[in-house]
Formats: sequence, structure tokens, C-alpha cells
Amino acid sequence: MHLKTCFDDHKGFSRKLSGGFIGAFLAMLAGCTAETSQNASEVAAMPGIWPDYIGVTVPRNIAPLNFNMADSALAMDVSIQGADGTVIRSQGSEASGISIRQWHKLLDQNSGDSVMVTVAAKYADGWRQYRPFPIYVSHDSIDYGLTYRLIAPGYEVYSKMGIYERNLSNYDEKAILENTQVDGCMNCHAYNQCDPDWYSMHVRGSHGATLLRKDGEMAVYDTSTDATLGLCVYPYWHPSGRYIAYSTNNTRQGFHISGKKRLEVFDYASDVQAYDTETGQLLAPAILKRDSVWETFPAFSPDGASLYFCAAAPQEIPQGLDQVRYDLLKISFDPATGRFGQEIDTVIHASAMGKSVSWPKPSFDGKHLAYTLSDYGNFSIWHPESDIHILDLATGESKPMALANSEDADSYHNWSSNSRWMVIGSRRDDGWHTRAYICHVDDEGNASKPFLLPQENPRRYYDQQYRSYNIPEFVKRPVDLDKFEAERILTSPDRIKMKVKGREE
Amino acid sequence: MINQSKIIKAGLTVALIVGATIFFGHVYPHHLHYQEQFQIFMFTGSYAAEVIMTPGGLADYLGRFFTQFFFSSGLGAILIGLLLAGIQLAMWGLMAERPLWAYPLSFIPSIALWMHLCDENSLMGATVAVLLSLLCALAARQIKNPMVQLVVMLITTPLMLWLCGALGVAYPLVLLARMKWHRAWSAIAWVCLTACVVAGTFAAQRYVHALPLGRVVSGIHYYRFPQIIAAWPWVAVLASAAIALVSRWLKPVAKGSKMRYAVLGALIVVIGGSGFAGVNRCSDMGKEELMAYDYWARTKQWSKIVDKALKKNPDVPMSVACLNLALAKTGQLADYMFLFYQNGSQGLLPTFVRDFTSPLATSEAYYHLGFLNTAQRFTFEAQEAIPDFQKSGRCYKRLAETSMLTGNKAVAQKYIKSLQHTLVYRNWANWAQEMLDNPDGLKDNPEYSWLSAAQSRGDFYYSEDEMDSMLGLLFQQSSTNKMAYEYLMAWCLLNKNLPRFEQCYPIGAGLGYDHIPMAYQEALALHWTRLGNPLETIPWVVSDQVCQRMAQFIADVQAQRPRSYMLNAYRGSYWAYYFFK
Repeated sequence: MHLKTCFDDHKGFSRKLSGGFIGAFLAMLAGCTAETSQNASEVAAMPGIWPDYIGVTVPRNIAPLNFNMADSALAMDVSIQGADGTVIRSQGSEASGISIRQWHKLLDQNSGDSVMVTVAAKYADGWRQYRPFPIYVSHDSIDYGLTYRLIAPGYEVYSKMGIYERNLSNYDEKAILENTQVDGCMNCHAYNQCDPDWYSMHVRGSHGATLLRKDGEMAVYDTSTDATLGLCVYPYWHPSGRYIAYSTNNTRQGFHISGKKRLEVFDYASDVQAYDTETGQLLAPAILKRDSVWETFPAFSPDGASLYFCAAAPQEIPQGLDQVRYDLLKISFDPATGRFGQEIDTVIHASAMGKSVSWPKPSFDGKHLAYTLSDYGNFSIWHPESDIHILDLATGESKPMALANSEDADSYHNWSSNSRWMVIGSRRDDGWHTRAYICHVDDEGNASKPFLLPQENPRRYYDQQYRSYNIPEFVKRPVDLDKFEAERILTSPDRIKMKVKGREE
Repeated sequence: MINQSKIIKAGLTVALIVGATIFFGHVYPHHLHYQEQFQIFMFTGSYAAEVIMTPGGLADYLGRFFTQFFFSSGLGAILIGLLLAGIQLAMWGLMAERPLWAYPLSFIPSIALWMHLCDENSLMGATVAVLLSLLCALAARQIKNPMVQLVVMLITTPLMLWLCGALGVAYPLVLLARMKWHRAWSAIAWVCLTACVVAGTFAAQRYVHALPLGRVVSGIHYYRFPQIIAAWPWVAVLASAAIALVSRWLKPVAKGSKMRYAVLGALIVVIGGSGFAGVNRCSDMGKEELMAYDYWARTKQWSKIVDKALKKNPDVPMSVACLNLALAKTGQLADYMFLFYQNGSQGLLPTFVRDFTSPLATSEAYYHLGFLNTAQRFTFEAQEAIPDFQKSGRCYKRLAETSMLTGNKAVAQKYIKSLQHTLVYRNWANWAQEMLDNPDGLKDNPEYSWLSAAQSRGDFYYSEDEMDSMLGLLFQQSSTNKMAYEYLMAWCLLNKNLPRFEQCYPIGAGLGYDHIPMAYQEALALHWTRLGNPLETIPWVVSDQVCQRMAQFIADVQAQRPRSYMLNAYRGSYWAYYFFK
């Protein structure tokens, strides 16, 4: 596209050359980015670009933030200047077409500072040059990649879907596991603090199982037991790698007849438990499986000494659905014995505020805990009002991540391994398809303006992407999953059966 | 003077084209409409790349290209006829010896593929794959040096298997079959080598695309259900190889000999007759009828639905739901619904099933009622359930419409942009884009302006168990939504819930009926008498004719007339439905 733009732009110029075809061709190559806005009219406003990358903060190792003109410009010319005066330049008919190599070099040189982006756009009446805008380059690097499930934002039925891995330094995406290979719905994937050598991935359907990889060893489990509500979902690893917290949920769906909300996902019952990978026992203490409380979304603290989870008082469903409000609770945990404490602390009493907490995610440095706050229920991605909030674990103060949130649903989120970046599932673009936005979080828990996961040609990519980014998780390095081995063990009938502690017979 | 054998051959080929065109264009047209709706062919590089990158992707891409024309069954039928003729001519070209009398043999692969196409889930990719493979073999046949030909075949076989999928094996098979081997060992060696290349390509495809080996070997774009192996394309491939092999020993019958035409005639009768019987056996006119109802509902040809039902009553929920929708859209539901077969509320608003067909017909009813979120959900779910993971032009259009009407401009825009890259839906998409830019223009479209006003606005949860409440609330929100009222009444009648019917009946007083609809009169009379009241005291304006017939019905019931008599005597009345269905 880049060359095509040059060719298109230089057709008139090359015809003026008297040296014939070769001369014209050489001139075209040499002057590839030469046609610019020399006579451009200057516009005082910032350019209307999509995605909106104006003033965002990026890690120095992120892929180039290519963008498109939001209007129907014929071409664009982009100059990015570092603090030391270094300029990289690109042209494109649709997207900015920034070189990956030059971008990384420029960001490395300007780490901790900013780069200024000057955009000129070509229209029928000529070029217009807009006011430059900054992109701030953080010292803090980001993990190797992001994994997520891509699935159409539907209701009960699913088409092609899978878990994918994206290299954040470029645009490479690869499938970790797709349902073209193993029939089933796959989700609930989790790594141990971004370490992909430890993962738990749940597959539903005819080959349903939980795929566990611990320290490089892969096995499949049947997580349902007679003593629990059903299959183990929403996994969260204990930092030691020995335990995985799960919840078991009796989940249903409801459908709105009209209005912006389309769907509700809710529980009729839910409990929390932990699986001990060393003993093969499911730890399901009575205090976490009370009939009078719906417990869900467990998450171990980074020191491993406590378990956060959400809990709500049961209501009649669906009549009382808009009264189901989850608080954030905490219980102590002894990793040496696998015993939970006898007391539960309320960390955020959201129900008292008429709100509901979901997806508690402590930062790995132990300083903060991010969660989603919505009006009711726990499946916040279908709630336009849902926003991400952050809790300072030292002071107990909680606040919305104002710059990171939007008018539409901002829900599922995860921390990078250095706890400086957060990925957010957001529906801000069209209210239906969830996209991955990334923001920087400083020591005080302040979020920067988030940027949409970069693509080579974002407009074209996202226009044609009908699937949502589900459960985005950072990974420190590529996920090493042998697809064929996964297919073999998932399609075989053999499963390791989980047993509840004290009921192993 | 034109060569007589050329005339015979051309005549037979033209007969194939004409036969296929008539069959698919007039006997089986709705199968083509059905096929078209489960894909969306876009003229974009990324779409082409996405499809072609998979094993068998080129054949699939071309198959989808042809399928987009099935929106017009006539054009689609001609294309099928031409493709089948292309396969037949290629087969003829690949026969080693080609006496005139053997010409009908070259029709066998085409007939097998015709039978394949009678199945509503067969995909055009298989037909294209066989055609491309035979054309490639035809090209390789031009190489005169046998050794060079073999080497070329060996090198290009992986390419054909990548482009056409597993059916691409027809290419080496046919070539190997028609070769004249001087030594048995060299034939065995080349067959083994080819088998290794084929197996290696399958293994590579599995490795690159991480697909189950079984799917790679059976082909992934030939049948809508990937786990099912379509048999007829493989019959076509094996028949092609067998004919190429047998053709080596075919001998011409002397010109002028009566035997020449006798054998030709016999083969035409045998192969033509078998083909006719095979196509007849593989075609399913019951499904064709069902697809016709769905197609007419989709294209809003309501009178065709009613005319069809008058000739033959539909009896499955999907077609009955289309009929009831057509009756409602033509203002006949309240009067005449019981003139037709009714299978309960399932024939009005069928229960959602995880399937890619019936939710589409049901979504039509929800759409026209004004339950736009529900219509959108059923459409979305049907699309997601398409077994080979394709998307659907029909669904994209409905999703764009419902998003536009419910005010979700960004989502509507997304679907419209994709539809603008299609052939069939481009005009509508361009118009819809104008409407997005200038929403006031929607007021000039009767359907959209009505739906904008009548759609459900108050929020509540969808509940199949409380459909009467849903319909009642919808009518409450828009008191001119006559269809909502008539569906509510029909729901009560079909569920034989007369108290609820009586309770809801008065809310339609303002709809301007010039008489109480016939079905309602019968239901009111029945309800009144079942409560023990004399018919003379009925408080509603029920015609004398209905009263007299009701009185006779009661007398017949008391006389314990047999069921068959009652069904016959009171056919088309609500009472027959109430007591005997």
C-alpha cells in the first residue's frame, strides 16, 4: 500500500520526466515519500484520526500506532519527531504505514519523553497539515504479548472461535487453539502472573475439559464433582503455582426485549474453591460454599496469603436480577496447609452504594486492585455503565480509572507482569464488539489515556473484525502449547478427575 | 456438412445444460436461494486471501463466487449447467480412446455431482474442485513425453491439493489411469510415489492449518457440516479415474454400423435413466417446499405463501409460521388462520433452537412484529450456527437493519460496509448508508418508518413461557400495532386458553375492525357456551351464521358424532382445532 500510494501520487510527476520509463521509475522510488504537504494549508486543529492516539502513553516496545484519517482523506503523510530531532516519515492512502523498525528505534531513543506526530492529509482541494500531537513514551516496557479469545459477541451459539496470541511489538497473531481443531467453546484461560508455562484453559462441549499446564507439563481434567456445583471456571493461579482458585457457577442468560442492553448473564448459584495441583484435591471449605451467598470471581493476592472474591445475596431470578449486587470480599489463605481462614472481610461494600463489583484483579506488585463496577449483576461487559475502578490496597481508597474509562462498557482487565500496564476490554467503539485497550498505570494508580491495540491498518482490520476480544491476558513470552498434543488429549476420553478434599472415596 | 457425431455430442452436452438449468431453475430453485443465504461473498482482497489460504481454498473461493449468483435461481441454474457441462467435456477430453458410442460415459462424473448438489448442504466447492482437477489433467495431457508428464504431475499434485483440497486427487488419479504403462513395476512405482506425495501434502496441510487429519483427507469445503464426508463428489472422482482407465481399451464401432447407434442409444438410456433416478432419489421436494416458504417470507412475497398453502397445507412449524406471518401481513390471520393446518403456538412463533435455519424464519415474524432485539438475536444465533463458520449476507442485512432501527448506528455501519463489498446486497447497502447519513430519509420507507414507531421500547426479559404477556406489552406500547394484537389473540387461541383470549380480546377495540374476525367469533361463542351460558345471551356481535353453526356443533357433540365426521363437518373452524387437534 505504501508503494502504491507513492506510485499514485507520483504519476503526474513522473510523466514530466523526460528520461522515459526508467527515469520515471527511479524517480518514483527515490521520491517515495517526497510528495507532501509543501504547499499544504495549515489547520489549527488536531487531526481527526482513528483510533484516537492523541496524547496516549505507550511502552517503548509497542508496535507502531498506525492510524487512519477519520474522514475521507485521499492520502496521509505522517512525520514523527523525537526530542533529539530525529524524524521518521511515512505515507499511505489509507493508513499511516509507519515502519516497525524505525518506530522502535525512535521510541528507544525517546523513552521517558515524548514524540510529536505531525499529520498532513490530502483532499480533493489539496493537502492540509494539522497541529502536531504528542505520544508519550514510558520507561516501563510491556510484556511480550497478549492472549485473548476471539468470539462473536453473541448469545448462546458460537461460530469459529479460539484463543489467540498477539506479539505486542509487531502485528503477528497466531492461534493457540481454535475450535476448527477441537470442537468446543474455549475460554477461561489464565496464566500464573503472565507466565505461560502455567496455564489453565477450559473447553466446553463434546470434548469438554480443563487443560492444565504446570511447569511445562500438560494434562486434562474433569473438574466437575458431586460435591460442587459443576465445572470449574474463572481460574486464578496462586503465585506459588501450587493452587488454582476457581468458581463453580450455575449460569443462565436472559435477553432484553429492547434498549441498548441486549443480554444478561447471571448465576442461580455459585461457589468458590481452590485446586491443589500437588495433592490433586479440590479445596472447597464450607465458608466459601454457602447457600445464602453467591461467591464468584476468585483472585489470590500477590503474596498468596489471601483470596479475594465477589459475593452477593441471592435474589429471585430474573425478577430480582437488577437487585443482585456483589461486594468485594477477602479471606486469608495458608499456602503451606491449603487452609482458608474462618473469617471473611469486606473490602468494598458495593451493594451499600447500589453498585456491583466484578473481576477483581490485584496488581502483581501488591499495591493496587482493579475491579469493574456496574449497577448490578456480574457480567459487566454487557452493561454500558460498567467502568474500571482501582483500589489502593495500602490506604483502602478506591477511585474510577477516569482516563481509561469510556461512555460504554469497560469491563474485563488484566495487569502486565510489571504492574505498569493494564489491558481493558472495552466496547467504546460501537457498543457491541469488545476491543482491547491498553493504558499505563503509575505508582499512585493513575491511568493514562488508553490506546487501542495497534494494527497495521486499524480501520480495515477492525471494520472486518466481527469477533470480540475476550479475556485479554498479558504473557511474558510466547505460549508454548503443542496443538496436536492438545487435540490428542482433549479428544481422548481420558480425564483426570478432580476430587474434593475429604470426599476422595 | 456438419459432422454427424459432432451434432450428437453437442446435442447431448446441450441436453445436460438444459436439463440442469430446468431442474435447478424451475424444479429446485429454492435450494439455490437457500444456498446463497448461508454465505457472504465479498469482493475484497482480505476476503479472498482468508478463503484461499485454507486447503482447497481456491475451489472454495470460486464455489462461493458462483453461489452468490444463486440469489437469482435462473442464473444460478445456468451456471450449474455450464459447470456440469465443463466437467463432462473435460472428462471426454481425458478419455484415452474416444469412440462416439462411449460419449455418454463422460457424463457420469457430472451426474454424480448433480446428485451431490441436490443436497441442501452440499457446497459448490466440490464441483469446482473436480472441474479444476480435470482441467489441470487435461492441460498435463498435452505434454507428449510420458516421463516429463509424470514428473510434472508429481510436482503439481501438491499444488492441486492445496488449491482444490482432497478432491484434487482426481488430477493425478486420472492421469495415472489413462497412461499406457509398458511395465507393471513402473506403474506401481509411480502410483506409490504419487500416494506418498498426496499423503505428504495432507500431512503438511494438517500441520500448517492445525486441522484434524480426517478433515483434511476428506476435504473441508465440500459440505456444510465439516464432520460429514460428502460421498457423491468422491464418486465423481473415482468414476473419472475409472472412465479414464477403461477408455484405454475402448474400440470404435465401424462407421455405418447399426451397432454404433444401438450401443450409443443403450448407454444414453442407461446413464440418462440412472441419472434421472439418482437425481430423483437425491432431491427432497419436502425441503424444497419449506425453503420456498422461507424464501417468500424473506422477500416479503406474502401472496405466494398464501397461494401455496391454499394448494397444499404446510404442516411443519417453520412453514406454518411463515404462513401465519403472511396471513397477518395480508390482513387475513384473524379471519382465516384456522382454514389452514395449525400446529399450536409452535406454528406461530417457534421455540428457539440452536440451528441455522428455523431461527431465521422465526426472526422474520419477530421483525415484522416490532421485537427488533429478538429478531436480531435469532438472526445472530442462526448465523453463528452455520456449521462451516461462514457468515451470511441475509443475516448481515437483517443485523444492519435492526441495528439501524434500534439506533445503534456504529454497528449498522459495520455491517453495511461489508455488504457494500458484495454483488447482491450492494444496492441496498448503498441506500442504507445514505439513510445512516440522513436518518430522516427512513420516514419515506413504509416498512422502516412503521418499525421505527412500532418497535418495542419498554424493556423486559424475553420469555417463551410468557409470550402472551410480551405481545400484550408490545401492543400496549403501540396501540396501532395490529399484528401484535392478532398474534396475541392467535397465541391464546392456539394454546386453547379461552379465558386469556376473552380477557385480551377487548384491547383491540380501537383497531377499526368492521366485524369481529371469524376465528374470534367462533372462539367467543365457544367460550360463552362452555361457561354454561345460552348462546342467545352472548354479549358480543357474533353473526347468526356462527351462532347457528355453534348450535349445530353442540348438538353434534351431544349426539356423540364420530371424530372423523366432526373434523369434516367443521373443517376450518376454531372448534375443530380446539377439540380435535
